[in-house]
Amino acid sequence: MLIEILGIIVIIMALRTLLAQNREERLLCLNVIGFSMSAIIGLYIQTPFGAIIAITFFVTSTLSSNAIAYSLGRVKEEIMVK
Amino acid sequence: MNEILGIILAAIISWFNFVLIDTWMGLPESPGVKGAEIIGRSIQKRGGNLAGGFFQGNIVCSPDASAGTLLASIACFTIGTPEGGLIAAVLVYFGNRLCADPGYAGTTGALSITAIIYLTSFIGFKPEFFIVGMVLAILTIQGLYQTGASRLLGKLAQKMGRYTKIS
Amino acid sequence: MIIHANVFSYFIALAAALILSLVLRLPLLPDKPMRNSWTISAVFPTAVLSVGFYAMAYELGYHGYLVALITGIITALFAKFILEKVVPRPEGEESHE
Repeated sequence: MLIEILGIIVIIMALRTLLAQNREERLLCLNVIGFSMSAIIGLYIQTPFGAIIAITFFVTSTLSSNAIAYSLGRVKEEIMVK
Repeated sequence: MNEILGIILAAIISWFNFVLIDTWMGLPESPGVKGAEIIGRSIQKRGGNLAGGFFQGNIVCSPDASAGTLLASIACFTIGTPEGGLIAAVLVYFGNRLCADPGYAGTTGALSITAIIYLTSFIGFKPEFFIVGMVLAILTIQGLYQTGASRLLGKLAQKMGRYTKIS
Repeated sequence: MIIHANVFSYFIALAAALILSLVLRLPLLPDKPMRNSWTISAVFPTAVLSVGFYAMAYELGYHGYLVALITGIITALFAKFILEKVVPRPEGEESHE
């Protein structure tokens, strides 16, 4: 049942992403999906290896969100400078 | 402990765990990286609070107490309490440093929720409740009503003396 | 309260790491304001890493006071000499959190 609850959260957040007005809002919704997927991995693979995978997935997805948000900031900066 | 009730209570506990620790560690004060600033400004433009927006942006851009809480709960579930939480604290620390963050918020969140999971295990709470609870907690901050959540976080930041000086 | 049989081992690992890191002249606490500081100190991250590494050793099957002591010593040495190279402090644009 726990994985089902998390799966519903993922689907709701994915739909919410479609309703977002701008990329920053989408980033926040995708962040929730990242949390939820990491939790599903941990709950499904119930071994210590599962925890390692869940943690690795979470940290790397944070790294990619970091890169995206940084690039969004730089693009806005360059638009303003131009 | 009934599962649904346990999850709701664990969600409330996780919410306070990560919000209080993150606010105390200064997430609303300034954007740690440029990415957090862009998210904060976007929240402000849509009618939210800037300090709350910096908080939300910092969560996206770097592992913080919310990450520490989630990962420590997962580790306690799969490896056992408290060993799992302690291992998670170490891994969150390294993850933080990779994301250009000194690491205080993440490790503190992981250690505190490990202690909470250990103590509540005596009244029937299982680590799974905290895993799902933490996802529900982050849903309320990042997912549902972003501008409203940012205003709540801004008020809390003001109360705890961590409001941003940037305008 | 029920105490884990190995709580004392954790204390040994923690104490060994703290004492050795102070001997190696790491500061006790990070500079103020602590939350923004990048300094490697005895309390953070050495203490956290020491109990974490002992937890890893415990889960891999190495129990006991001697293992805890060795883990504490290795953690302090790691924090003093190797940590800065593994996770360098970022300069320039990417500032602290």
